[in-house]
Amino acid sequence: MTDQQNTNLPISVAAKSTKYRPEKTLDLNGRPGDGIIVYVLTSLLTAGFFICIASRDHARVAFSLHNVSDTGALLPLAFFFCFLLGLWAAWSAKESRPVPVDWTDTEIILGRARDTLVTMPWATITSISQQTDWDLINGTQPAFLIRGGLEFGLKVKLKQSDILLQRDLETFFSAVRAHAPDARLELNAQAAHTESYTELWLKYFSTKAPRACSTLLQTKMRLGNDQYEIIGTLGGGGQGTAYLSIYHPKPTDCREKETAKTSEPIIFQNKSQLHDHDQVVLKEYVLPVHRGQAIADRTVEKLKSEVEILSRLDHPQIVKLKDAFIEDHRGYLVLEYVFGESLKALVEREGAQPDKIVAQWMLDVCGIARYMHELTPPVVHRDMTPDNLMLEPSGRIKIVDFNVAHQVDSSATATVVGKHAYIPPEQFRGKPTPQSDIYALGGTMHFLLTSQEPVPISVSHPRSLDQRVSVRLDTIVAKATAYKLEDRYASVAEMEIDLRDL
Amino acid sequence: MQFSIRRPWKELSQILLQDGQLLLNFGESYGSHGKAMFKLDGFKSSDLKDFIIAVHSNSPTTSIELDLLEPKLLGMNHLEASGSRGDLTFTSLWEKDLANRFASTAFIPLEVGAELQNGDYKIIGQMSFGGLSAVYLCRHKNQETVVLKEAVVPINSDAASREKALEMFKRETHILKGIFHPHIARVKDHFVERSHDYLVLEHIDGVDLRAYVSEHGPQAERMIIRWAAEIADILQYLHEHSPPIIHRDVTPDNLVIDRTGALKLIDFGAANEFVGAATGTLIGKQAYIAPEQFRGKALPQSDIYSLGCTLYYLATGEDPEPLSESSLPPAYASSMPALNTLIQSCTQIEVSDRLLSMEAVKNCIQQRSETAQ
Repeated sequence: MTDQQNTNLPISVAAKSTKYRPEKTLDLNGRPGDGIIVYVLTSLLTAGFFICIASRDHARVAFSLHNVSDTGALLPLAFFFCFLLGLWAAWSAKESRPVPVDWTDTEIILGRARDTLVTMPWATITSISQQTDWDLINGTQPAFLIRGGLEFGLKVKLKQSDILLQRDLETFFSAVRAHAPDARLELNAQAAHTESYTELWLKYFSTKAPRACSTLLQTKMRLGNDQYEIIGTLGGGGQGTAYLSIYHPKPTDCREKETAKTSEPIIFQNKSQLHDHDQVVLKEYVLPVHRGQAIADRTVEKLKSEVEILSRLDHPQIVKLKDAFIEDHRGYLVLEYVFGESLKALVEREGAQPDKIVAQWMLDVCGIARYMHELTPPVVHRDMTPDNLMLEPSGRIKIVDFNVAHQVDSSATATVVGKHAYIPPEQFRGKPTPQSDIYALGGTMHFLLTSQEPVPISVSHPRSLDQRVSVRLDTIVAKATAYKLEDRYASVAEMEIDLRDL
Repeated sequence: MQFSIRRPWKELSQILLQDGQLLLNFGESYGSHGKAMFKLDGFKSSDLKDFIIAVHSNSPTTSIELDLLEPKLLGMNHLEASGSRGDLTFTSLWEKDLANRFASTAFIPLEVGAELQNGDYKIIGQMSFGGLSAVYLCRHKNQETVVLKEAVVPINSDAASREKALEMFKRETHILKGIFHPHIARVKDHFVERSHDYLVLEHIDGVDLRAYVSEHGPQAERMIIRWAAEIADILQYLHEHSPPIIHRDVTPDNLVIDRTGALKLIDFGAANEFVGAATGTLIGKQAYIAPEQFRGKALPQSDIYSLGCTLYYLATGEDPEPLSESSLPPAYASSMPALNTLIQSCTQIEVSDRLLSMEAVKNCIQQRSETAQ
């Protein structure tokens, strides 16, 4: 659009900027024709006035100078006034520019003063502020005061209606943003409001969701090509919904047909260790439904990142991902079902645990953490909390939850922050390191030893709550939960050594 | 259009683009379904946009063919044209906005058209959601447009902590319902339906400061200081209640410039805190949360910290670093030293080092605005 309009304006190329005294205010009042309108209006008014007087008093000659006290004496004055107005109008008509406000890539064409085309290079504009202006034709209306100019300061007032002659206001603002990014914009909200098109897009993109099911899944329902039968909802900890289900494999040929039928993508599959009637956990994410692909893509991306992390891990004490799919605008991760109780539930049931047991568990967990941290690149769990550590009947600890991608967004704008009692400051700042998991483990130890959640963003001292905790273990917890990275254990291995020495 | 020039909004069923003309299809009520064609060149791009917004708000059921929302038609192609300023492209702008607003949830959000409280509230738009909460635009008893905030505590969460959190939440909404201030969005009601909690808030028609800054870029010092004074006034009003009311969620997203140009504070952090307390999580924008608020002890000074962070965002267009004292990057700091000092003294990590009351913040703003001029 810009190029097109520029070619329609041959003058803009020839235009040269003129120099002005410092901070001169250039009033480019009136549009072409303003002067003429003013002239006609005032003439009509005066004529009306004259007729009025004359009809009321036709006996007297209007031009008579004998009766000064008479109302008729006002008439010459009125005529003189009219003449002056006409002169002024004619002058301003000459003054007013025939060029409306426009711009090229290098400068704004502001209008014409006398016979010079006034332009201002974008690069010299220092600020644009919004004001109100009044004139006879338009009444009160928004105007813009532009400060800038070469060498000397120049102030130019532009009326909104002038800008709107050629382009709309938005186009003007974005031209300002594009060509004079350093100029300060001081606008009132009225101008801002015309630009809120994001709202408009939002409204467009929100659509009636074509969800087949808008409640929790019921038992006996089948998902993922009828392979997973829901048998119940899982309780205990964690955000979001998880279902317990039974796997019913399909004959291969039949499955191929089914797959061809569904348009939903299969993100991941690793069913090699999945057997008929195995119990699995289906972790559910309800995806937002909107017109267009962009939002769906983004949320699926998050799901994929979790899938990617999980699929890299192969450790007997880390929950295994079996399958991932999307169905009816919900994403599902199919995970191995871990029998046992979370440490959180256990402590809530039994109360604080003795030093020895806690140290035992932690050594077990440190082994898993070390495996993850030694991968290249290292995997940081970011959510090692008592909720996510399951104690199996065999006494072994298993890590179950990996919804890091969902729970703790690495960007600082994320709305959901997560279980903040276990998150170290650097992770809040979006820079988690393997040492962040050490902080979470320290917090977890504090909880196991005292059955109290640790105080967020602080060094934990379980001994201050419970004298039964040994000084040495208290020191380990404090060192694991140190605020600064350099004061914390540098690696899980270091922490393991201290735990073994107990 | 058969013999009637005026048609009620509700009869308008569809708008589409046909051969460069705007085609309005009217419903079949009164047995007079009809069509109206308008030449598109008769519309200025901004008029067309206003028209579409008007259609959306007056007749939300009307379907709009999407060619109509092509940026070119709405005169927004300048945004794509100015691709050199990468962050300003039209596509990236709304994509970013939408992705920030919509994330996967642990529950199924309400759809447009859904009804609550026996039809008293009808959802007319989804504004944002993610995790355990959602925000909708809603029509109350077919008259007033309100904002509805949905908070969901997962079924598998601890019953005792949910009960405790709900108790606190109820007490707080009761207090918030008593606040009448021209620059604070009213908390109108609270109800529970299908074990989801709903907070009804006044709807402020306008642009929030985050959207404003992402569209217009960082703001000038004078503008920011003017806004700072307005925000400080609002917060002072809240803090002077006894006991003081702490907003707990002062962010650029929660400050809206309404149609008259006035700044309004929306959305108390109470609902977030409720879900947080019930699930042991912290919900909010971490970059704006004061350290002591992280530790679960929100003070009036926590709002001062958030105010400082908000000013940082207005000046730079970037979120500040969470849990740190913020000062403007050198490029900004040199051009607005007064504002920089204000931000620093609002975002001290230790509460005692911070400006202690809104009164102090206002005095500081007063001095700054004098030196700034």
